[in-house]
Amino acid sequence: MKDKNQHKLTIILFITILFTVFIANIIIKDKEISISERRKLNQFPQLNIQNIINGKFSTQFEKYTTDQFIFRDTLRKIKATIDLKIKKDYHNIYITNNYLVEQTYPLSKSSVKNFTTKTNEIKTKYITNSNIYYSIIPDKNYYINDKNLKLDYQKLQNILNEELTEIKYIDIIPLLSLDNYYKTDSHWKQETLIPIANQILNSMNNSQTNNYIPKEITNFKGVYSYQIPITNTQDKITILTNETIEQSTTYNYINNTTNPIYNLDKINTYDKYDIYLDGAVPLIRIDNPTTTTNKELIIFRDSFASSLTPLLINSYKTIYLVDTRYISSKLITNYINLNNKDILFIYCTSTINNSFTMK
Amino acid sequence: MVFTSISFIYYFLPILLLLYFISPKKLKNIILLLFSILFYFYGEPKYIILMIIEVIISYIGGIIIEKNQTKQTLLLFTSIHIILLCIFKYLDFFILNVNNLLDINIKLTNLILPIGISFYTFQIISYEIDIYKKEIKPQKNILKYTLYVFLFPQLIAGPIVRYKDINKEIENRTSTPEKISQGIKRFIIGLSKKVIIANNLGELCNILQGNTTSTLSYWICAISYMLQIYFDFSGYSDIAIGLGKIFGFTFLENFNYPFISKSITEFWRRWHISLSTWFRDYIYIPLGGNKKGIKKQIRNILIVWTLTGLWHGASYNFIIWGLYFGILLILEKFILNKIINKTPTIFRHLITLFLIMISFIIFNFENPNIIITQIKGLFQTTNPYDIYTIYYLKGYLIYIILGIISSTPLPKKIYQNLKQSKISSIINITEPIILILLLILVTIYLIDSTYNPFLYFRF
Repeated sequence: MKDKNQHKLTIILFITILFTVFIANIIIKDKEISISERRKLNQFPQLNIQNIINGKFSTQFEKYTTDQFIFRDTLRKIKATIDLKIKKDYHNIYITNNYLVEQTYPLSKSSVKNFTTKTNEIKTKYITNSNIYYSIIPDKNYYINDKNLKLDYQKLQNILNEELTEIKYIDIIPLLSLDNYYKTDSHWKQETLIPIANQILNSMNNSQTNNYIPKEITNFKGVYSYQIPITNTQDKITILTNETIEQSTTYNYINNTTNPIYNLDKINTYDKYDIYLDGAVPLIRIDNPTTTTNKELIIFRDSFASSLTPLLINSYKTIYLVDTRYISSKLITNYINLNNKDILFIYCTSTINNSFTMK
Repeated sequence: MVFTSISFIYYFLPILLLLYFISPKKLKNIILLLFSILFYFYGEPKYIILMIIEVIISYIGGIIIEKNQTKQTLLLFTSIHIILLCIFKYLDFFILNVNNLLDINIKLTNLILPIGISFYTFQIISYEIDIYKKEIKPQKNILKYTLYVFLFPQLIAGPIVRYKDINKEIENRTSTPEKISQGIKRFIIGLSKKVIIANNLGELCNILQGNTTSTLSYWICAISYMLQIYFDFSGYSDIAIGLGKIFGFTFLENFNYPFISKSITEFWRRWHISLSTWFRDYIYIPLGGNKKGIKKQIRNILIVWTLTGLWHGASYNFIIWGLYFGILLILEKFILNKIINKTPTIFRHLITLFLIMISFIIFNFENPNIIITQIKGLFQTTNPYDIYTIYYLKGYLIYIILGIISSTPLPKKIYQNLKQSKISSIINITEPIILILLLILVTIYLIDSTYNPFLYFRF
């Protein structure tokens, strides 16, 4: 091939790519949402003089052109493949033995301190005459022996032990392993949590419960399978149920609704883990009508407690779940009396290491 | 508008190319001017007025300077642009220093720096001085003159193009398939240098800086930042030169493998050439250059390098950065020249690279304490390495290696040898395909850089 032809070929290929993409971007209908990124996509910005002069138009247009780019998801898949080959992780998530794992690193001492300060504040300001406990759930990176970056879990525990005085620690770490976690999601699997629940119940002077019937509900692609869009791995959501759980209900304080413990309507939503206690909710109450006890439990928690709490119901008349990432601790006493209760603070290490979202 | 954006590559450029190449010759300059104005307006809608005013002043200035060839006229017009540059770029820095010095509290103006002002001011000044020196005639057609200042490929970050280098092409230029294809090649190579190499090295610097304090991390940071700056800036120049070529302009080269230099003097002949030659021609030589004795030459070098530093930003680290080079150049010229000549080449390379690396640490950090920590860190023995740095070094090693190799003439040499070998026809057919694959790769990286996932749905 002569140089002349090479020049022509370069121009033809370049022009073809530029114009094909340009026309395709204009013709193809814009999308409303990105399922893989779990967010709304930017739409064509409002074209008016004010927006143009104050620079809003160009800022929004930049976001619009990248959000609505044809084959955006396909291009991301290619980038994920490249990054996993070169960097061994894609936006901090890596794959090992079909497990998709997020690297939570490094340890943020200030965040852990912030967590303990907030916990102590709740304890001293609002809680009286109660038995207070705390427990931590390692993120699944803890249970992988590859040469990946890991939090200094020992240091994290040391800080908690030093700072959370007068709060009894319930150690569940030795009872857990990688098998307790979903392959494609950050959370743990309820069907494996009976020993964990019993350990917590024992530590809080309750009797154990083992009479659960597992029910497989649906296939499940967790949050990481969207973030790393190149894996076909799937999980299954299984619920553990019994008569007590079936008769108990949840009351959502924010939208004043009453639902069953497992809200199976959530099977059709993007985040199927939400079937456990309705998902990310600031404040809910579980009522157990089958019990004779008057004991009440308040759990300060993140989303890991959603699948764990149903396994604690048998021992309590009422359980309150407070997610202080969504509700300020100052408001809690408007809804709940924190005297003479069992109180459990239970959080995943990744929440503790990123606690500045807590109110 | 930014070259490395989807809006530029896949919206602005195809529309411009289409209109430019289907329009008759007499309309080409108008189209290029309108799109250049749009290019600037898109990123800087308010300050475009300032730029237009400066263009009009310098257009009139050019004509007056030609008629009235006095120093006063030249000074009058050039000082308008210098004063405007000083107001927008240096006034707050000046006020801050006065406040600190006299312990008073003059309010800051908080003016935003107009995009490209440092570049277009220098272009305008060179235009006015060259008319004064009778090296060029002023452009009488205001649209053509506006096109010179606004020409979008070099508008925002150079190279600093002088009127005398492109005035003929503004009047009359041809676009041949050869030129266009070379322009496309240069454009894509520039994009790749910026998006694939510079951005990834920048990411590595951000990950390491402030998160780790091992000796290895300081070295990796310093090396990556030095490479990042080079690929960022030279990539931008490649894009500008490439785009210029597509539209029939020939801009002078701005970088020439600066990291293969054997001395700081050589480095500055290879790094940001359009800036260093600008300072040489419009400051150093008019001050007397090396013609008025060693004392004045040293003074002139120090003035030029203080200004070079200050040109990069209104902050003390840039002044120190400039002076650092000024002092090194003086040492090389007057004291160490004999020793340097006797030093084996490999050591000259290594010493030069090390001195350049230190210069970019100064360039990178405004806070002098951080600069000292970063430089000290290179020599500390207490904490040689850490797992965090090693993990990320492994991940980004390919970009560092790619950066090191691509900053030497080796890839070009291999390419030229292959072109002259028996497989040249294979090269000719694969080259365009590789270029397009690179463009796709750049697009992939650009799209992924806006990846913004949420853990919980936010609809």
